[in-house]
Amino acid sequence: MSTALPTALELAAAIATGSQTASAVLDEHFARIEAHDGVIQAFLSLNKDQAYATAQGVDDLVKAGNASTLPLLAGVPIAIKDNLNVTGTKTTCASKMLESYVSPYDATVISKIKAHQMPIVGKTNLDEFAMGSSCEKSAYHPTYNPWDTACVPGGSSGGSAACVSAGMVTLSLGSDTGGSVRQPASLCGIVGLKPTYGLVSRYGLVAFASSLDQVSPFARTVEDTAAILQVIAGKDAHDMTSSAPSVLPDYVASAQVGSLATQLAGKRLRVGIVDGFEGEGIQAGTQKAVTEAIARFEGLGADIKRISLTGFKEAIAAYYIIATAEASSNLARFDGVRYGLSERDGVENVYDMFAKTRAKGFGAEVKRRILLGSFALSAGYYDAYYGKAQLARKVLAQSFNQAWQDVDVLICPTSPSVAFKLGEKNDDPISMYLSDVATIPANLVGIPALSLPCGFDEATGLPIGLQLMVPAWEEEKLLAIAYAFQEAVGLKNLVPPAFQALKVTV
Amino acid sequence: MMNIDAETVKKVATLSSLALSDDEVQQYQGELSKVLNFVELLNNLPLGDIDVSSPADVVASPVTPTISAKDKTPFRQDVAEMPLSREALMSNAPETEDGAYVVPNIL
Repeated sequence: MSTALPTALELAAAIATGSQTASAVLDEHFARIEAHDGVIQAFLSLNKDQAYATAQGVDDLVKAGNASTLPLLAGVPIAIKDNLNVTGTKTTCASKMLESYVSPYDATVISKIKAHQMPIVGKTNLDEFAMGSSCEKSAYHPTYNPWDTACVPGGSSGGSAACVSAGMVTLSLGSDTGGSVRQPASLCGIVGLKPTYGLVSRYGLVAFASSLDQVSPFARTVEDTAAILQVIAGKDAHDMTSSAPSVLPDYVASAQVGSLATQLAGKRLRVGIVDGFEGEGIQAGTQKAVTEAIARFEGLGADIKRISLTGFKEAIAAYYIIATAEASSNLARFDGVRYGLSERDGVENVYDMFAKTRAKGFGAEVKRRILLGSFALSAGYYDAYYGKAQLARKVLAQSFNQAWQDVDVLICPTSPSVAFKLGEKNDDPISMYLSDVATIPANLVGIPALSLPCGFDEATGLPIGLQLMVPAWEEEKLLAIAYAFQEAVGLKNLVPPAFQALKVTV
Repeated sequence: MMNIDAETVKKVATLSSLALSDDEVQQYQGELSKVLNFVELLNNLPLGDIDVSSPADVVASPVTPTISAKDKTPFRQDVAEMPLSREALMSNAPETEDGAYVVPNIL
């Protein structure tokens, strides 16, 4: 099953061969945004002038006969989560705190996208400061799932997922701190990849939890995912935690026919099924789809093994201590002095200004996490909470390292359920937090993980995502496995029926 | 059961520079207690042969095991670079005067 909409790589090829101009590609994508974003509300702002200037630059090169000098993905429109800085455009983090903030600089990933001459169409919605799993916690408006607009797109990068799913763009960037790209990819029937911590620079990404955050792409195929990773990956002097090799691997070549055999060098693929994703808390349709996915891997000649990871289920508890502790520190910068909202009316002194500015600018979920993080770091509680959570992280890293002795890849559902209804999990923070139970471990130990469609839930017709996890720095193998699975299951470039009518020509 | 009281919520709010209404104090008292009770499940975690004596090591190591093994602490040359201009950096400030940020009285 696939749709007639072109992929990012097909668009790039059409532009480079002159069968379509970058400006016309942009026209058609803006037409799709105008037709569909009123319903989906994926965008917080559009960036037409900059986008058309970029497209024109690509067209000028092609017209002058210099198409061979075009970089990878030149002319392919992309959407950016509104917590990444793009010079001269608003970066709101979907918060009232940054309602009027205009970025004075580019994030490193944005500089790379500009160097690849990719038009940036706009900034997408998110849960405020990337804290949430449904995109309902945006201070501006929710985003709706293109498969069923009564449902959430997932979060926090819900806008970036929904606009790719509805075919408003072929590519977007989000950020993944505990599953904020993989979970919405799963709920929207697309591909989301969280790279190894350090492979992509975090410079210019508004920090939530610095030891967990990673800029992460969305696409509708594994091939396109590999291509956008090729654009954004790399060590950056502005981010001392980035540590990619000086010469990047050829990720695009990893997502092709035969690449899995190359990666395995004649050995059989060893697949580990993460224990604990059956029974209570896991939807029947999701369990069925994962069972079928296992059969697909058997069909690919893989050896299948069940793996029990100590600390996998507890990871979510550790995460909500570590992520909130880091957030309480990172978000201290929003004090009303240098940027953002500043409450000056009737304040007694500067400290009063800090407290009132933050009370007014932050939403309830952000305040809850700042309070929890400050509590976990406070005298008398540090060892019992923050210290214990760091130990849990160490236990988890050890059990993953043990698992890699026996398997090449670990699989489990990306999310315990398909997309849920708006409002369904709003009253209970714990139930919302639990939707990230499968994705959080990869952030805690820094490994790459990818979600791709593996089936549809019969009861609701909604897509189901499968998560693949591999050891750190093995993105090539991850993409090769994902590509082989995608081809075997035959679900790629999915766009919901209601969004297929407007054609994009190549 | 971990139930935090209103005084603790207020203390943490002060540490966080957050002004909370009485209603919010009550709301967060309930919610934080719930989350902290959920987090109790960390106490069931078998620590095995994990060295619990060195928190610094615990903090540094799990993020990217391969980085710490490969690169240790990364260093760079301390070379002066041209940063953003003062005007660009201050362009989002609520109030400035003569190239400085203006804030309400401190003392």
